[in-house]
Amino acid sequence: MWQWLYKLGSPKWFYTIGNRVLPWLWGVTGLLLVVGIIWGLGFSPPDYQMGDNYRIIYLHVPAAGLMKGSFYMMALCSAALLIWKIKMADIVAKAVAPIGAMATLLMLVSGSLWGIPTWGTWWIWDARLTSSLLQFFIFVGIIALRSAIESRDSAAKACAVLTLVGLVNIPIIEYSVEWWNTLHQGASDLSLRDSSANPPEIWIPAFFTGFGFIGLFFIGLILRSQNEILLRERRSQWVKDLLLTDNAKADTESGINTNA
Amino acid sequence: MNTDMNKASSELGLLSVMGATVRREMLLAFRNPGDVINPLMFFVIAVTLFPLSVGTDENFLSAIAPGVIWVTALLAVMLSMDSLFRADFEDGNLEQLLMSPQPLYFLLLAKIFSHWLVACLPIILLAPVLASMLFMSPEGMLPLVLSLLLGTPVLTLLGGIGMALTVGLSRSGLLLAVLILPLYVPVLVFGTGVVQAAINGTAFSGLLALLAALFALAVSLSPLAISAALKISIN
Amino acid sequence: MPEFQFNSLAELLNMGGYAQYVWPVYVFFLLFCLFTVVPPAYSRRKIVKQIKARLRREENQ
Repeated sequence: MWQWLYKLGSPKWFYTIGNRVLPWLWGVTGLLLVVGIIWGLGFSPPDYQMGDNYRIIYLHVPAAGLMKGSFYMMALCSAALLIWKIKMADIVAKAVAPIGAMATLLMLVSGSLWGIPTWGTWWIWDARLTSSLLQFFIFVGIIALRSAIESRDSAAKACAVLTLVGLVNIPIIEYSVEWWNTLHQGASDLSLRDSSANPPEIWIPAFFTGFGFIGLFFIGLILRSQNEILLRERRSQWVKDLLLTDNAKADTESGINTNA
Repeated sequence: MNTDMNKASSELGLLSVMGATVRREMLLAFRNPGDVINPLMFFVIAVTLFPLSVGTDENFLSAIAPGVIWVTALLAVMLSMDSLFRADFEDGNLEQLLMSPQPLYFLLLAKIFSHWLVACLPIILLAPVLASMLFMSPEGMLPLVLSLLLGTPVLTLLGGIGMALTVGLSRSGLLLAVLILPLYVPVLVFGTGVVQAAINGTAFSGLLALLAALFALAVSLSPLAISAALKISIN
Repeated sequence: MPEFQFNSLAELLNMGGYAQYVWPVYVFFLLFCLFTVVPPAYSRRKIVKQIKARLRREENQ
């Protein structure tokens, strides 16, 4: 276990393992997403209340999960950077931030499009939409802080501190928004009231798209981390060796081939 | 010799060192009154802008008064944060602070407490005046002051984290806003909640207790984050 | 085995009247996929090219 963690902390190891994992990940993710989306759009029975509009759920819920998951991953990496000084943790944290921000945006867009027929308006100060908007601001803040600080080490640690501060604050923010929402208007969130009235089959495509989203997340994570590794390690011998052999060339440029 | 010095300074006692820090900050604020006046003036001017933009209808103004006072006070506190570490960073005092043998945690608390005295207390004292200029109903006045008394220290502590992260940057004003405004949301929600509840005639002590809990959490945790952030920025 | 819920392609596209809400979400998801994959792949190409150019320069010296 520790050996494995130690290896994961090595950029070179991460890079090569990433290349080995990517083709499988591409295949599995593509399959999951295609099956999930076709099933969800075409084969799932319509919701007894919302008709076909509920089909947005197959993207909305996984996007919300990705939003949460990305932030927890960033927080974990931040702790690993600050406590064990693992450089790889910062590379991953940096790679995850834009993916998490975009997932939050997807969650917001799908939520508000879902809201138009349900609420009659595209935006509503619903507890979950509002706290997702705040979560989006926090992602943006972390990205902005990183781009503002020139020194890479300082930027890494500063972002790690901010991420952990955010980790402590997010439950408080969510609780306060929840309270605020019930004060100003009765609970009117998108949560599936009476979802028991629907057959359980309605959830099957969500499993496919859910795991598809996780796969997509890791594809993005690996691609972005590998870029950062190449940039940071550009003077090291293994990068030179990698780029000077022809086999490796195809490997690095596509990120798809495995004949390394 | 080093141990002698440590011994000597620890004999000074934590409280007296904190007291000395507060005295020093007060003296600095006294010599540079802009640190006191500017946040206050911002608060007054910004509140004045609201009737000028939304009209002087008494009912409408009294309805938005708690929110206007709280949001403007929050922005004033945030804009005042720059004077917390900036000058000390530029003249090297911050480095001295980090190297001091005294526990950084308490030194930072003393520093933030003095900043709160200088920048926030005048705002809190003036808030009822501005609130009544916005026709806020008198039942809300005491809760407004109480909520600000509990809330502004939290804003100062959280702002201190943002400031400590960005103090090494030459232009950090807008970045600071982007970093810490989302974190200010709970204080704003519960702070205005207290005032609204009082005006509506419902119980607000529970909300004050929530604000107090946020205060306790911020006092105990944010100095840790601030000291970590300062060490990163000083490097 | 689940069965296809729509009688025709036109009906599928219509989404029971909710087409203008359902499809944009799926289009935005497509953009999300592209965002996850395309910019990093593009910058990978650039980074590799840069490093190679530098290595070649160093070899020539």
